Amino acid sequence: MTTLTVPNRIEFVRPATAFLVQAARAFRVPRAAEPVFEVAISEAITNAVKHGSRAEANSTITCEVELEQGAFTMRIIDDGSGFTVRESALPDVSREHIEALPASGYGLPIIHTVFPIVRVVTVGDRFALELALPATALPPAGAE
Amino acid sequence: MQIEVVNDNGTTIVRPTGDRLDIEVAAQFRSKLLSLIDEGNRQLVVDLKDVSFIDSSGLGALVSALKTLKRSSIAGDVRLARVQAPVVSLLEVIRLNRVFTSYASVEQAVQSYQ
Repeated sequence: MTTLTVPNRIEFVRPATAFLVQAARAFRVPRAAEPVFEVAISEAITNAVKHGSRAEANSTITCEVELEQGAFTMRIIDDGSGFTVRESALPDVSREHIEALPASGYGLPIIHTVFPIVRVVTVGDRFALELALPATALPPAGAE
Repeated sequence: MQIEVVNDNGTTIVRPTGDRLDIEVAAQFRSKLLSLIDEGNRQLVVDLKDVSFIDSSGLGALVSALKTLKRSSIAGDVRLARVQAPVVSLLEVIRLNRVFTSYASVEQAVQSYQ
C-alpha cells in the first residue's frame, strides 16, 4: 500500500491529486490516462477538505492506494464525521432550463462516472471515502 | 491566477491565465465574473486557452455567471472559446456542453454576438 498524508488545506488538493493519479498510473490502471480520472480524484480530495474538520489546526488528509487481488482501491481519509454516499445522477441540463441548473453538486456525479464503487468506510477511528475499480475493470496481471 | 479582461466591440473577453481552474482559484474566478456582470457586462467570452484542468468548482463559477445573466432583465450569455480537449471531455461527461456554446477562436466567439 502507498500512502501520503497532507495538511487539510485547499492548497494541498493539487499535490494529493497528483500523488493518487501517479500511483494509479504506476499500477497501470487504464482509466488513469483519462482527463476525467484526475478530476474525479480531485473532487474526492476537495470533498475531504470541505468536510474533514479543516478548522482544526492539526487536521490532515491521508491518501491510501492499493492494488489487491486485482482490484484497485483508493481511500481518502479525513478527520470529519463521515457522510452518506447517495447515488447521484447527473442533472438533466439544457439551455431551455438554465434556471434549474445547479451551480454546485457536480463532484459526486463526476466521481461516479469513473468509479463504480464509491463508499464511506472507517479506517481506525477516522472516516474515508473509498473509491474502487473491481478487478474486471483492470487488465490481467502481466498484461502489457 | 491572473485573470485578463479585454473589451472587444461590446463583448467582454475573460482569460484565466493559470492551467488549472479548480477549488484553489474558482472563488476568485467566480467573483471576477460576477463583478463584471454587476458592472453591466452582458456578452461574455471566456477564453480557456490556458486551462487544461477544470473541476466542479470551476464549472460552478461558469454556471453561476450564466444563471446570473439569465436572471437579469437584459439578456446576456457566457460563451467559451479555445476550450482544451480535457475540458471538452469533462463538459461532455457532465453534459454542460448542452449549455455552453464553444468556439474554436476568440474571434468567432465575439462574432457570434454580432
